[in-house]
Amino acid sequence: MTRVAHGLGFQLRDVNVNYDGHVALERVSLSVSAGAQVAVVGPNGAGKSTLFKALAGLLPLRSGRIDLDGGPQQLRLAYVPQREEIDWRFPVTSLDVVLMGRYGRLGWIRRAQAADKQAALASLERLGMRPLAGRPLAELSGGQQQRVFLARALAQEPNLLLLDEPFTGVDVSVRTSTLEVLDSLRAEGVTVLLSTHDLNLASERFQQVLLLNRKVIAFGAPDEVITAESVAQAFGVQALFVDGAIIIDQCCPPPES
Amino acid sequence: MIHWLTDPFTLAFMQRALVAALLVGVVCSVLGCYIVLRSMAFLGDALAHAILPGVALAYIAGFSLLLGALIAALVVAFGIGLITRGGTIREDTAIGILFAAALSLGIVMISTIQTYATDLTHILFGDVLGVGPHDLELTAGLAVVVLATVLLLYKEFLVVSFDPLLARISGVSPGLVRAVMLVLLALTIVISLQTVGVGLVAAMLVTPAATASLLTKRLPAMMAVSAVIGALSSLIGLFASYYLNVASGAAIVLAATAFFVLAFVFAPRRGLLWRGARGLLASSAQHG
Repeated sequence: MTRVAHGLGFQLRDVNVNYDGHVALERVSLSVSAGAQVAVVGPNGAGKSTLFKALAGLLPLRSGRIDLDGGPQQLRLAYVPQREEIDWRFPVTSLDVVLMGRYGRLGWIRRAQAADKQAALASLERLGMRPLAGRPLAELSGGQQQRVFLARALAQEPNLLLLDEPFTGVDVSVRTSTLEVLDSLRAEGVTVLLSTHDLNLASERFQQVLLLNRKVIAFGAPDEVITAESVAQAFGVQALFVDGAIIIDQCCPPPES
Repeated sequence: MIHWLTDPFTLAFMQRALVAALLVGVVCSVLGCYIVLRSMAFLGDALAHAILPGVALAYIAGFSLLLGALIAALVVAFGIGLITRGGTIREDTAIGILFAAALSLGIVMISTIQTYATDLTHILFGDVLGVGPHDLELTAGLAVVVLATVLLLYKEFLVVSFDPLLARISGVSPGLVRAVMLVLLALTIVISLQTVGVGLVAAMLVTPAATASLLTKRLPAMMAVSAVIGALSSLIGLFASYYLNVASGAAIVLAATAFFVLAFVFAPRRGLLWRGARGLLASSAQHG
């Protein structure tokens, strides 16, 4: 677990993706360098999850291309899904979940080996979850559940980590521990994309922000990207401007079109 | 007491019935864990009814009922996959259409037979006392195939059931795993035909697994407990059938249901009594 990982850089060129019959991403071009940590910000239905799934190769591109540095075989991807995509009553323990992160390197039929279990336990340890390794997922708090999924991502030893709305529906302590993990991944050079609604968090904790609303509205350093103009363009009527501060009204997001 | 337990099984047909019922009880209960966890109960029930035309055809043409059922189950399983593939028809709609069509076709075919009522009863509700030696061999063979596949592909079934996205990232195709599951489900339904029949197989797939889910916290334990409950239900059902002279398939399902009710009421932590007691404690602590 102590070995230094190398992040993966990648480029999107004119990527168009359809999802559920409508255009979810339109002419998206961007270049992310190895080891970068990018906050992907946009309203609901902006295509944040679609972008992640396209990067993971889970959705076909209608047109355009995604180039990974060193070729597609270089990709070691970990994906932390949104909370509502997981059945939290499923009869698995913390350790069971983290072990699933090792399946990618096992291939079909072969069982997890002692080394995989060691890696899984070390990942749990890193998030302070080792004492709860045998605890069923259903008996963990929301924050502990999130930590288990972060530990699973670490056990995958990724060079590209995608986190889909990890701060939605969790408390401050989870947010803090997640950001701590991101800091240590930065030291290891792992490329990270994290989607969020939270403009403050994006500008304070990330060197790069991608403002997305089906198209790339702006991409770059936070102070260049987060301007009244671009935020209004991304969020429309949900963005309120009060005395120079930008407030995003997420109370009642409009239905996805 | 010993005689009371052993007497029924001095008869050859009762011995065969016992082995068949135990095999079916275990196989249904183990595979049923995935049916419960993946909310596939409707698919299991539909698939069970949809094999009727295959059984009817085999009955009329005079070849093995199991073979007829197997072919029909596989045709329907892949038919559902085919209809839903384009994404224009939802899976439950496709299941509903095929299920009703196949069931009707089966009934139309059976209604041309003279002994319509008796034959239909056996197919719908099982006839475990009529299991022949050859049937038993086929049942045992298929049971071994299903159980071995579930053990061998444990990791793949687990990750596809829990997190299909991770499965795809890990190189395990959820579509392929789902197809394997459908085939196993078809095989399981086919061997259940003799003991509980197409009308009740869904109960054997769902009830022991649901009972086990109330009593366990990990999937391997859930499968083991489910298998034990399935086997015990089969045993109890057979005894009831022998001594009370009632339909064996229905007796087996009622035994499984009794286990479920016991677990639902008395299960530690998740049972009705436990939750009720905790609720009372909490409210008395509030008022006190």
